[in-house]
Amino acid sequence: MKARTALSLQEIHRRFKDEWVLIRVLEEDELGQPLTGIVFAHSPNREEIYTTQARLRGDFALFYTGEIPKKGYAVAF
Amino acid sequence: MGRYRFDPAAPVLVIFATIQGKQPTQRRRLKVALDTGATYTMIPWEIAQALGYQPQRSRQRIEMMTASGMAIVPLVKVREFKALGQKVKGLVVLVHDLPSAGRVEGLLGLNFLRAFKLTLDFKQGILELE
Repeated sequence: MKARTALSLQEIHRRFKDEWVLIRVLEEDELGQPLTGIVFAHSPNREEIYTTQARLRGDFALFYTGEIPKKGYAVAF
Repeated sequence: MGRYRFDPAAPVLVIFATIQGKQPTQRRRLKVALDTGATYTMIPWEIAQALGYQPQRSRQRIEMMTASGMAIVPLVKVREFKALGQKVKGLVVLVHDLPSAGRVEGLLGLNFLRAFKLTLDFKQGILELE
C-alpha cells in the first residue's frame, strides 16, 4: 500500500494544478486556513471529489487549485 | 481579530471556511467567496450531508433569487461555522450548489459577517474581521 505524504498547500497547488483536491488537514494557520495536509483525491471533476469525501470522517478540505474564476471570466453569485 | 491579506485586483475574494459537522470531529473546509450581497452563507448539498445534516428533511426553506432564476432551497443550522479566525455557533446556512465553473463552493454571506466588524481595505489589500 502506498504511503501518503504530508504536503504544504503551496506544494499541493503546484503538483495538482487546475484540479479539485481533497486533503486531510494536518495543520492550520491562525485564521483556520489549511497549511499542510495529506491528499486523498484529486480530479478535474468536482463531483468525484464530492463523492469521495462523502465516506470520510474527520477534518478534510476540498478546493480548486487553479485560478478563481477561470481566466477571462467574471462571476456574479 | 482575523487579519487577512488579499489581492485587491482579484476578481473574487476567496477564503477558507470551516464547517463543523453534527459530530464534533467531523469537519469540512471549503473555499468560499466573501459576498456582502448574499443574505445567507451557503454550502453545497453533498458537504452538508457528509457532515450529518439533512437538508432534504429541512422544514425551513426559502425562495432564492439566483443568476438563472428563482429556486426554493433548504436552510440548515450548522453546529459551528468558522472563517477568518472567527466563529459563529448555530449558524443557519443555505444549502445549494454553485456551478463548478465558479470554482468556489460556497458563499460567506451577511448572516455570518454581521456578527463582527468587517473592514475591507482595498488600498492595502487587508481584510479584518473582529
